[in-house]
Amino acid sequence: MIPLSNSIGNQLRRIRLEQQLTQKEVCQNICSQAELSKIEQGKVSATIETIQKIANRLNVSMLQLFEEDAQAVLFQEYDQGWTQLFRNQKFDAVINSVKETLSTPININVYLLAKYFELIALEGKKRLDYRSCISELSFLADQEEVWYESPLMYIRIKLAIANYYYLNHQFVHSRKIYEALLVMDYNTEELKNLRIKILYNHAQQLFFQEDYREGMKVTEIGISESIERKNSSFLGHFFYQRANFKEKLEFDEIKKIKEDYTLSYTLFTAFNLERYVEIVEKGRNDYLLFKFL
Amino acid sequence: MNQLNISIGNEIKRIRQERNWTQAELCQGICSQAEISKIENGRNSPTVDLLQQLAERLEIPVSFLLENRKQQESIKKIDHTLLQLTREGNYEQILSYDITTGDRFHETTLLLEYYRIISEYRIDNYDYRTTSVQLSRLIEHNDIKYNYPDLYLRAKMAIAILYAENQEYRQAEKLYKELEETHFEFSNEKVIEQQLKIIYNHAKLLFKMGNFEESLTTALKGIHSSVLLSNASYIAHLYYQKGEVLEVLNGDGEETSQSYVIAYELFKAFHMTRYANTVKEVKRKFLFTE
Repeated sequence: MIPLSNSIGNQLRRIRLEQQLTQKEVCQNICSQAELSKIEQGKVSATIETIQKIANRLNVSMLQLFEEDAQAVLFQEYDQGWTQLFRNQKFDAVINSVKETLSTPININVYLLAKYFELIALEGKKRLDYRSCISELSFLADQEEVWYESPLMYIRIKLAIANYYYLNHQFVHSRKIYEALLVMDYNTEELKNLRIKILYNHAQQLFFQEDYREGMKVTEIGISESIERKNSSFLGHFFYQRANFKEKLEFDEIKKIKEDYTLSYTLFTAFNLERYVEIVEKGRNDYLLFKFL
Repeated sequence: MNQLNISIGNEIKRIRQERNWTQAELCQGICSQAEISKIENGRNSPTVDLLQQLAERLEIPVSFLLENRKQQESIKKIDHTLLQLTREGNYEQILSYDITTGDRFHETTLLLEYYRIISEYRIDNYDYRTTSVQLSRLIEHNDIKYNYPDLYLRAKMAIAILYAENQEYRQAEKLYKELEETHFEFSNEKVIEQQLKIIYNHAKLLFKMGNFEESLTTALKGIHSSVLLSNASYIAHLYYQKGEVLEVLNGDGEETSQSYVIAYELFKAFHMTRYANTVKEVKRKFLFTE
């Protein structure tokens, strides 16, 4: 466990210097200068009350300090870099960059991210078959502290495992993972948004497993959660999916199917998702109630 | 007693009890039972290290203890109720609104104060200048900008709306510009929603002022941000606004219709029936589908 006092101290120092304030100016009427100096270096663990007073003076929120913003930025940078390389199938570059990162001091989130990319890159190169990759990923996620220290990485790793099963037509295994993920607690905004992605993937998987009834149910949940959260990431996809399910279930109200395809088409247009607009136009042209120029 | 200490203490106690743990079970090897008791009561402020150890034992991120989810839920509920009453014009009831939960959180108090000021204005107890002074005071005296950024944006936006309602368009516009440029190091969904609302209200104001080009630019900026953030809170409104500007600038062109259609369909998709019906009524000739 990396002591939080260190990262908070670092951040307080960084923010103070950014605002060109001296320690003396910041600590006045809060604590001694010696104390603040020790807090900044992570040498003492201050009380929450003291940290709050310093945070107020620096005009930053407590949550910002505790969410380890600086680390989150670092995480995002690594994530974007590796995702880019991975998408372009530059697996060796991913593996080398990960090795380099793992040799520097990093927090648990970045560590998990690095290991995750290492494994999927090895699978991408076919130096690791998908089954071994799944077992390595499971080992990584199932260490006891992962779920609560890094719920986002936990879910991401589990989604990758489900994805490997699903790509290899092991629908039963993949379904089990989605079902297990969906009964967990989603406490933060970030996790609630991620849940919507899980619902979408799960519904896709059910479509290929040809369990249209269950798939339809999951899609409906996805639609209502997207609407409730005003989250548009998958809403267009969900409407498209619902129309797919209705077709498979030989739903006799053709008008409703048309409405769903048209809604998904409108959402893709409104959110500039041109690739999907094209897909609907090509594949379901006859179902569209109207078209945009 | 310090608000944050009370809130952290409540949250620790709540989670501990949820798991049926005794204080002794929670603090074993971390601190004394006397200490944990004082922390739960909000009488002692825990150190960062101690809080981290407790969070680890409870298997939750430290930030959960600071956020206090029960408090967030309770505030969300109160906000929802008061917003509903505002929409119904039931200001008397807002003024006599009492919290039944017994939780007196700082944020709740500020929120109630915000609604109180607005209600006093709506029933003509305050003129608009008094109202805007009161709102400014609420913001300044309580240091809310960094602790409750969404409430900060709402209160400021309320002032801008007051200006606009009283034909002080230039003042209102200045305020919207300032708000659009306000940068927060820390952001969340609530803040993003208010930021998008600000852009929408700004575009609406510019339209009212006859400044069509700028209204269009602002609406497009809002649409762009909504797309980037995958946040649909105001995207339908913004497309509607885009339609209104284009209607004035280009008449009944294809692009005008398209904007209204998108707005209409989005309102429908997000079950905002009241808005969908309004578009249908007012812009019927632009909607090529029923």
